[in-house]
Amino acid sequence: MSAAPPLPNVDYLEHKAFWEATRKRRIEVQKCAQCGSLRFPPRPSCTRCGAMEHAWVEVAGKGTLFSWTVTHVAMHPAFAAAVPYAVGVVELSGGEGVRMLGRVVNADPAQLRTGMALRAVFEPSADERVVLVNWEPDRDAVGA
Amino acid sequence: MTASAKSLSDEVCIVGVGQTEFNRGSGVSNVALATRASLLACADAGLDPSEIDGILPPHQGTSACAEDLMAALRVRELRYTAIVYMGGASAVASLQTAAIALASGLCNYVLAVRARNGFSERTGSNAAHLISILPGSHYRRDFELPYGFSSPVQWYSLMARRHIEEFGTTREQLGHVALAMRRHANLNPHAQMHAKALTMEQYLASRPISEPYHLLDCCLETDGGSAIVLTTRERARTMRHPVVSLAGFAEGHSDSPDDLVNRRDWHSIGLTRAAPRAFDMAGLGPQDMDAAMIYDCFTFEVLQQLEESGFCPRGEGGPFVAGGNIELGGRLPVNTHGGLLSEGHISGMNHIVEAVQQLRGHCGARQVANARHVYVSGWGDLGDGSAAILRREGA
Repeated sequence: MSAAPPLPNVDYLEHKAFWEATRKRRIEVQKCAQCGSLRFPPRPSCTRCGAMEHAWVEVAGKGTLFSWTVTHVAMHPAFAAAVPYAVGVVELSGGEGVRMLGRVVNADPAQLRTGMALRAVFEPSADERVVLVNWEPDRDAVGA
Repeated sequence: MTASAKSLSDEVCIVGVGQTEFNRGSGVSNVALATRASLLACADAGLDPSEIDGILPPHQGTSACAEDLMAALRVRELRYTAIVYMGGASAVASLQTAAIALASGLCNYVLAVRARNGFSERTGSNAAHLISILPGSHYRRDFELPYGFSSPVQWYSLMARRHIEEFGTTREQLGHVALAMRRHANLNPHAQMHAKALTMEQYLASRPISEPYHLLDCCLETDGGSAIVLTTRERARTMRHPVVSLAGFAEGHSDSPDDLVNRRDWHSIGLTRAAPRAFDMAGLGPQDMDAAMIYDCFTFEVLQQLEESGFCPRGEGGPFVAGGNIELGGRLPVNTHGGLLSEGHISGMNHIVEAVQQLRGHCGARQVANARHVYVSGWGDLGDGSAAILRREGA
């Protein structure tokens, strides 16, 4: 019997808007209403200018691989059947340096390289209530 | 450096150190381990334990609390207690807390202790528990754990991988850290790995955990405890050991302190900010250190902390550790006790104990000749850092 996968609390107020967007297959991050900078993870105020007012804006579901790890020993029982798997840090295209963490799927872990082009893959839970964002090689990207 | 911080230099001293046996199966409780280490530290100081009036207990909630220790040591008047909550950076950061409590006159004798059945009651694989005690626990729960990412070996492997890609750092270079720690442990009868040799072939062949980290890149799991007793310089001079003072100390936190992924300067850590402040307080620089005790939760973290502390430029840690510099007899012997990698994981309190023993000249086969200044670092959570420079009086 495998353990239930640990899912985000999509009702947690600070993060709620992000998960509402992924349910619509969009990736949104916070944009400061005062200085205009983008930020992630969600925070109540801007990490550059300190203003609390912000909007959620869509960013492209594309990016490049910044760093990664290939996990061979599951740290949570829900991932026991998945090992070995890669988790990557993705620098978002047009995201002003904003990075996100996710699984890198549909790729041989031995072929991962810094700077390789990736695109988002939306992974819904069985009941569609939670949609995670994973990443896969973007074979259509220029230079890919 | 603030004006008042510099005035704390050398005002406070470590006058007692004590450690239980380090093993995998203590057969006693966390509280018993903490009590034993504390009693040994008081005995080493020649101090009646009931004289302790400040306690900095372990940061792990599963270990002894100040009240446990107050009862166990028959403390008469506990005037101050605080938990320094910086993961593995806590032990070294607690030196600063002790210094404030003592230099202000609030306390006469402060006890700082770390003790835990880290093997017998290990929680490292209990992802939900680990996340609940970390900074940014909501972020961990929502944006990391669902992706199968929940453990220090995974967090720090991202940092190691980026360093490898950017600077050409190699697995063999990381292996030199593991080998140096093991050779030092082979000279230390107290070390868990005292009797076990390690070769580069064995290191390279160890099984992957979360690449680039393999098993022998990871620290030990240990049952045991380490404790120190601190007091003011005036009192220390009347006590039984050579005086070892806190010449400089600092804690530091990087930007994005609860999130490794969106740190603007990827390679910066808390120590990047803490180390220069600690050196400034001491009026010394990295070149003045006779040895360094670096928080070695994983091999790469040694390399990174050497860089960020200023012992070598950023990006050059690989060649630095591979060139023999960190071995006994090298330019900067690192973790002469064997560290968390080969002596035992006592959350870095054992690093402070080793620094004191080196400065007292009590290290036998692994003694650094005429050690006068020893650097100690702490590393915890998502890159929090702490640094201290210990000085032998008269040096």
